[in-house]
Amino acid sequence: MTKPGPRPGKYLIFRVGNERYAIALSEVREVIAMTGMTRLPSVNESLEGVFNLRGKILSVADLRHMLAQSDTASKRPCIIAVDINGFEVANIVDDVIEVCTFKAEQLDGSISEYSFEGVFKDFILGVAKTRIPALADSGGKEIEQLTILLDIERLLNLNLQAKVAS
Amino acid sequence: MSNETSQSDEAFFLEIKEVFYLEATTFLQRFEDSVLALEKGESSKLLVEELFRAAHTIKGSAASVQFADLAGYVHHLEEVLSQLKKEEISTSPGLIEILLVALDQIRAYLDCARKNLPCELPTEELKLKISQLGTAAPGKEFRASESLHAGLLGSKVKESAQIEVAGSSSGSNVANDYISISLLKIETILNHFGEQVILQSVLEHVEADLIAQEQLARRTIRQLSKLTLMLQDSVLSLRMVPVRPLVQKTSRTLRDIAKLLSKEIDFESSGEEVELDKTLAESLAAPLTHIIRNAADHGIELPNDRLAKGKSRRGKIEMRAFYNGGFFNLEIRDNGKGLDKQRLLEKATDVGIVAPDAKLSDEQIYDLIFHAGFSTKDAATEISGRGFGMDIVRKEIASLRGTIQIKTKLGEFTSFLIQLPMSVAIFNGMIVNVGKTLCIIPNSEIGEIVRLSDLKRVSIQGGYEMVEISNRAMPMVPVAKVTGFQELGEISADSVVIVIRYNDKPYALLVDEVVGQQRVVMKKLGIELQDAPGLSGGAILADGNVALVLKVGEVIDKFELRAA
Repeated sequence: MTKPGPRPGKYLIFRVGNERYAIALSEVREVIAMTGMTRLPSVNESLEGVFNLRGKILSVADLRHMLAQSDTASKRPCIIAVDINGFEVANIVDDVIEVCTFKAEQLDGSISEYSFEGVFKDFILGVAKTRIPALADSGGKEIEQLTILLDIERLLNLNLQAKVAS
Repeated sequence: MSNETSQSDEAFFLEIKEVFYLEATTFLQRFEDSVLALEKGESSKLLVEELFRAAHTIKGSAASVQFADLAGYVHHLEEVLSQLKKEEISTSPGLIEILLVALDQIRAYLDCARKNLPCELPTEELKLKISQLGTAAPGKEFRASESLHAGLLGSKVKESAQIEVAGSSSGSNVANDYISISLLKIETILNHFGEQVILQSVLEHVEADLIAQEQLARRTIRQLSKLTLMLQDSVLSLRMVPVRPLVQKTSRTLRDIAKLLSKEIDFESSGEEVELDKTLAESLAAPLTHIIRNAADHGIELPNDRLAKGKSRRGKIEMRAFYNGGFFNLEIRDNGKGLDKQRLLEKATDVGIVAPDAKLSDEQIYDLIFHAGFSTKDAATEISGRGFGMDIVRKEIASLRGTIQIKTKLGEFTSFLIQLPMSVAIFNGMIVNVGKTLCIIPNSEIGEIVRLSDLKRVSIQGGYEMVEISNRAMPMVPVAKVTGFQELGEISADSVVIVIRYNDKPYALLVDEVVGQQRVVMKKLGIELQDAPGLSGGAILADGNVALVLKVGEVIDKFELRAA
């Protein structure tokens, strides 16, 4: 099975635990502040509840749980509402950082050539490298930062077992 | 640039096609009505005129959306009708069959075309049958109609398959679905909306000095909230459609079945203009077909049997739609042989559904026909009688939050009364607290609400309890525990039980407290929750929070599974 590699374009960067993740901006509907929600019966561990987004009831998935990141008490958790071909879910993340444009040369999809124990890589498209200009406190050296590119559709499908026609 | 143009052309063509499908459906329905009226021997001149017009219109628009084969097919029909118009041929059973079979073929063709499936029309077959019509000697014509019967059967099978397909996809395909709306309804909405705009501008004007104009502000807010309710009602009424198409479909189904069974059955209907939520009306089609088949097959006797019993030769099936007590009612009544209590009971004992020494009330005996795998017919026919059907009917009606009741008298009649809520989208609900989550139970399901502390309770195995309400012991269903809410509420002085009837038995649903009542606008949950047992949807409360609408039947099913 060959997966399409990561594509250049605009991505929304967010933080879960200590890692930077990115999802294609085209799949993001909106980013909202954390809000109260109605808890669900224990249907699925990854689903936190449902809430009212301007008259529409959206399910809230906890990306912190899905990405198996230790539950860090975040100062400002946010909700990213995604819309994948009409399949809408809100996702809790620790922080939303920025919107980035990744060029083809920044992207590395070689992760798909390896097999890992478990399902982890199934929803990882690759990594993006960003150079951060030298700062005084980093000892004057240029830093390369890695961002994990997520296949959010696959991640949600794996965790929510939603029957979404792709 | 040119690419863009061709794209918009494409979209435009698709739109025209969509209009064509809608239009064709309307004309085909008129066509069918006229053929059926013609068969009954109603004054033929106007009817033939109407038939000809319908065929002509369909032919013309089919050609314009490039369905050349359909246009060609209809052309042959048009030819026959033109002969009929000129009185070169006369109405005959053979002709009626040709027209009806052709109608089914066209419908099947349009269905396929709409789904972009390859589709074919048996044009040669039609031509052949038409040519046989003119020259047929009586004997020959008989054979022709024989083969048409076979064709009819085939198309019937296809039709029921389509019903299932439509049933499974109902609701999920809102984007491609259309509804025709009376202009009057749109007018009403526009009037309400116009008023709302005026009130809105009054509020904006008042905003400059709220304190000085407090009275005006208060009055406007009151008017606005009243208007919003009216607007809500009129917008919701857009989903309501008259049951006429259902009645028409039933009339046709009945005609075909009666023919196959060699029975003579008249169809009468009233209340075609009574309205019902579109999704409900669509979901009602399949169960209704089952009931009609049953009535024609099991209910109405053969003409000679009827005469022997001193009844009129022709049987009658009546369909009546009306509102009663805030519910939509549909009664289907046949003047056939009625249900035989004794025979039902014997059969049920044979099959082992009922213990030999059991004492059942009349109602319980009649209810046996809803039991899966139960049929009093000794041999199954292709129409009905394989012993499933009525149980599916009851399940489907129940899934629409409705009920079905039987009334019958041996030798005289059987009547089915279907009761449905008028709308799926809006209903009155009781807001309850379940394990710190607000849930809603539709008022229509609730029999009684009692404080737990007022009840006598007994513990049975596994931590389950029975309670006694109105002199009847029933199991207590701990909703939070059964549905698996993370935080269980504690049984406190505020805990209440809500009595629900399910499968004809009462259950006491235990919830933490009753919060209040509200008019609920039902919202869908995402697909990721579609399979969540016990939930049918969500609703937004006055404070903007979400409450979950409970599917009480599933909660009880889950409870019985656990308790078993």
